[in-house]
Amino acid sequence: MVRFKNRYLVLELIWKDSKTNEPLDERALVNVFRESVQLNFGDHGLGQCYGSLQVKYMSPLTNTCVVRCSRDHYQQVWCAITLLTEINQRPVLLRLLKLSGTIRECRQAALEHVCRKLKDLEPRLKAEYGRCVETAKQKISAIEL
Amino acid sequence: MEGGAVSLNNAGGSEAPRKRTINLPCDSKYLKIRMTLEPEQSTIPRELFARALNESLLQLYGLAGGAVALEFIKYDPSEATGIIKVDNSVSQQVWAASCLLTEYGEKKCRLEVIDSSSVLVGLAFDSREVTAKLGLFEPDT
Repeated sequence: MVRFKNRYLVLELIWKDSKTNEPLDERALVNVFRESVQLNFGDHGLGQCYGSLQVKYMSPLTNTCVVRCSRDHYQQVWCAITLLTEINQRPVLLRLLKLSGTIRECRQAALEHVCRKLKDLEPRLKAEYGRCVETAKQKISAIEL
Repeated sequence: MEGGAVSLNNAGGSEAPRKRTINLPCDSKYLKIRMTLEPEQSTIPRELFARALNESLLQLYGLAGGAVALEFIKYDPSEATGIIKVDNSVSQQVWAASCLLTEYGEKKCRLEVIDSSSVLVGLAFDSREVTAKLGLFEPDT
């Protein structure tokens, strides 16, 4: 039996307004992505990638997320995500940081980006910085297939 | 065009003509589509037919996927039948989208592909109907 191939997208959310980050979890984000796929690629496109499209990790603090989809339809998902202009009535831009076929590389890229972002936030986080870094490392290490 | 082998009488000692087959790819496809509405209308305007076809592509393939170049060649409002030209690579998409449209506006709608051909002349008439009228063959019962 041929193994089911996936693609992992590490994305950065760039909010265009200056509001504080509202909690946005994986479930809310995957619904947003599915709506975008349906709008841009119709029922056929949504049906192709519905089962395989998942948000594996989302950090509202660093605005980083990891999305999994099937290898055959990753371009549709990538296109639909790039064409998103707002989430929950807030203008946003989603930028792809890393596209990988293995979860190991995806974890590595996500961890590097999150640590870099947390380093920039260190003056604001102060005493919480160490805890945030540990939590992020644990969550990213726990990303499964 | 391909054809069957032709055998000639070699009584005159002449050589049989050489045959060469060239396969020409057809870039476009012509589809003859009929629109039916329920409740029925006496005439269906061309704009309604075009909008329904675009709506079917939008529903099934979305904004990006449904951006297909369609060319309306001819439309008969009394029969609600139109001929469109599409690229060969997307003809199946258009065919599938038109078949899956069930309603447009507030009316039940059906878009039926009644004929398709790679050349426009192939949609000019139904050859079986013509031969039946000419009495060359018995019509299928």
